[in-house]
Amino acid sequence: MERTSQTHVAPLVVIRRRRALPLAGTIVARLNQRVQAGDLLGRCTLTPSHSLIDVAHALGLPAARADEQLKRKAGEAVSSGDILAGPVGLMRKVVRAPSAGRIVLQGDGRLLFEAMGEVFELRATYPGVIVGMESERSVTIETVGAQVEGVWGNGREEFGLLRVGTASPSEELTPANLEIGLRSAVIVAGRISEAETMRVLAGLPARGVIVGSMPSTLIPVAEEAAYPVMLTDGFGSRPMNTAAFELLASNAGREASLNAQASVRWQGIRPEIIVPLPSVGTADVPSEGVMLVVGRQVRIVRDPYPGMVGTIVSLPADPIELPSGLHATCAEIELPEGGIVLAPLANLDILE
Amino acid sequence: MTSRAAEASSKLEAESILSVDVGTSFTRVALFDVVENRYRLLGVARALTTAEFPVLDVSEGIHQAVEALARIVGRTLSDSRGQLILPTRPDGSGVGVVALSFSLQAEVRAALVGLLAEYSLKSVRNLARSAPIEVVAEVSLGDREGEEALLDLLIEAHPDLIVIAGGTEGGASQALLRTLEVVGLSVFLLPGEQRPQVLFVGNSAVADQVRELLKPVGAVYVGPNVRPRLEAETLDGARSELNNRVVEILRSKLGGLDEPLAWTGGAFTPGAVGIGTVIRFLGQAFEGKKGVMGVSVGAGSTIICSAFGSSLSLSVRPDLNLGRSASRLLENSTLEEIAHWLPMEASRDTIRDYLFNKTIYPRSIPSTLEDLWLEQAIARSLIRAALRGAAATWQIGRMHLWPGLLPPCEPIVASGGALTNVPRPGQAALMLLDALEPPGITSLILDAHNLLPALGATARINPVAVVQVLDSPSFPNLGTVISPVGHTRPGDTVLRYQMAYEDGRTIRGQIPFGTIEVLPLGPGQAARIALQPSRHFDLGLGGPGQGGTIRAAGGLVGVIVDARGRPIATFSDPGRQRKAVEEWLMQIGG
Repeated sequence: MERTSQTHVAPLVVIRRRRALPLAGTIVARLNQRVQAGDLLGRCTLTPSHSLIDVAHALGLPAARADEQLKRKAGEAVSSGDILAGPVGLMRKVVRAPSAGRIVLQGDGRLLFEAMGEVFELRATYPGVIVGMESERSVTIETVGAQVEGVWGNGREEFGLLRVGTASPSEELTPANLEIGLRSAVIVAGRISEAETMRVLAGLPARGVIVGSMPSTLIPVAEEAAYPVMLTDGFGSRPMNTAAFELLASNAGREASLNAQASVRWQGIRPEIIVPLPSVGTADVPSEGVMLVVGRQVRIVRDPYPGMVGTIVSLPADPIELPSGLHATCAEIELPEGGIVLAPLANLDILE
Repeated sequence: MTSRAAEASSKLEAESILSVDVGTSFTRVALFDVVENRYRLLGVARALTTAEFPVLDVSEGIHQAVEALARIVGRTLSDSRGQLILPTRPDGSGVGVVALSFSLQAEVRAALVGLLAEYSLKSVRNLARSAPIEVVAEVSLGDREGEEALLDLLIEAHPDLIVIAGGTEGGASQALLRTLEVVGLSVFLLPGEQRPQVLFVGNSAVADQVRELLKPVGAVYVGPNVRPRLEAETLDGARSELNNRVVEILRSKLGGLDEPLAWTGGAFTPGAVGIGTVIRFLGQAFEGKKGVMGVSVGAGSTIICSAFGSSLSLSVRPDLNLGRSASRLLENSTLEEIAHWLPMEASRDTIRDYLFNKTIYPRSIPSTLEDLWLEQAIARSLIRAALRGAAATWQIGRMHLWPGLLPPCEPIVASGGALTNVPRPGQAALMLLDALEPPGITSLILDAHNLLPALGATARINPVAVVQVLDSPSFPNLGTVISPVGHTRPGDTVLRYQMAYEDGRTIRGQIPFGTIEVLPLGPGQAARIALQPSRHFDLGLGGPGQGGTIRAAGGLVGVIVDARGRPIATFSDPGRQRKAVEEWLMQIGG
């Protein structure tokens, strides 16, 4: 039995997601709390900047005497303009806080000041129940629903009504397709090929877009977009794999969470869309690390059959010569539209 | 090399050796044992590396590869519980000793700090090129951005490792210690579990003060000064220490390393260092006036390693690979450069999309001929980009016969999936010729089983085995390469030759400019070739027009006469260039 990559395209699974602050902060949600997608879970201060303030020089004192003039303790929060040291001498020299922040360290005539940075608010994104917490850092939300993983995302996340923008998984989404009924929706379509479509989506406005592919030249446009963009299959003009398109289309009209986060394959983090569904008691957590066996549904990820979905009908033991001349262990795959094709195991992705 | 190997064999300790290399895509294992008083490769096997989600345990991939190896060599290597049998049992099962290397590229983020941009920062940058690390910040005191900027830069960079250099031996230290204080503050400001390791490779006179200064905030390691004198750069000792730090960080990031490390008593070799060890071995074995070069292109990195005399240069580029970072080639090359090496027409968008799709599906392989040509054109551009960076660190002195070209090297060893997993050996040879443009006379050797990293690890425990395996069919010769340096008009004669085989047959001919010709000479065969270049061409045999007789070894391709000139004469017209690439492929048997 062989192992290969795996993508979740699942109609009903239990999904647990850790939602974490980028830095230590405050978690406001509670264990067992039921949350909606837009609910606040916690907040923290982003990328604080630091200043090394030469107190001794500012007060015109030797370091040891300057330390005697310090008015605040390390760790203490201060407001902009608060006196940190002094007053000293006839001129009543003082050192003031350059902005709101806190004193990190002080001594030897110097002071390390941390200015308060931008506040980051962590939202739930996934409706569900909080089943785990990590003090000051994260919560784990559990929900039940349909799940489709992507291969690329622009780093944004949103929640909205799922709508289908094209009739087939291979059809291109164009400005002409973007009718008013798609406003404020998370739109599912075959592919995008023009930057203009991205701009029209922004003006609609769309809550998000999921397509099989787009040209890699559109990456900068997608990264600039204010809405999440997720690709399910790759770059170029690949159609969306039929398994994902059919599952998403069958859930059109339902609310969905689109998290177009960047992939971190080491940790199994991938962009994904989750459609919360009522639990019927049969859902389970998705299987991980499944093997290539006869009967498994797979997607072929490269030419000459990119994006095609089929079922493994045999796994020949010996390597087979490919049209490229390379020899590789292959699988025979039956395609729904008819015919059996041969593809190297290295070019298969299990859809589970 | 043969005589050295034979001499060494008398000192054999006949233990079987299992080498394990945990790579980015694959974990490769190989079994070496003594057969007829010489170490030989008995078998190799591989399995997918299981460092990533969902397995997150590299030992699983190792065990799978060992099971496959046991089937291939017909020997019991593991017990009924699946544990490796170590040492060898009286019944012959198990292995005598294990050598372990890590070629795997995990994200190890490093910040480089140097006192002066022109000296210590430059040296620490050269040092960083010898390890599989991602440089996320570079700062020097000369930046004049102030201590606060340095502080915030280091905090935002979130490094796993801070490498600091500064000060010549016995030189001034005040400015260095002040900089280190800021580095210490930045480490202090990071949460405990995110604090980086600190490696100091500066003025050894202040090493104790550095340890004392930074002790409160975490682990501090000290390596030899990379800039002992203002005009001298010495990277060897610091390189080992840096790579040790990298593997330590990998241990903290990867699961399942404890078991294989227990087999080796904690010893391991970073893959690139392993390649460097073997190239240094070859440099000593060939003892010529030329350098020795190793080139590896894989899913994790591109490595250029060269030994010129006693100087070893190691350039590891995790940003240049045929895997998750494939699209980053465009930061160091252009779509035009890639298209330049294609025998068929492909739009710039097609090439760009190919690179980005490779980042998504890094283990996928070319099924079609068009994809194979694209992948090989990308491999050429990866090597060319890595070479541009590596050349800056070479200390080759008088070895440089032809400025602007590769210094004379023999042999050139090719490793890594992109170069070794080819349908025809001519394709590997042509990738090397196009990317490196070796001038003069050299030979190309293929690391057919991608053993170099593991062999380097084996050298720690049994150098004799390494010497003998290098001299075996596991490292087939692709062929002797004759590349006259110079240019003339297409069709003009570049070289006349007469080749005398060992059986007495002779062939003779002349090679026109702009072509490649392969003279048949199979593996294990040898011949004497009298060479006479035309007056504009230099073979390195005494100057332009100077000929001579060489003894050539055969190989999988043969004797390759590359008469395309140096630098290679290519065409600005894309159509003519495509046609030329197609012809060169045909001529070399690709």
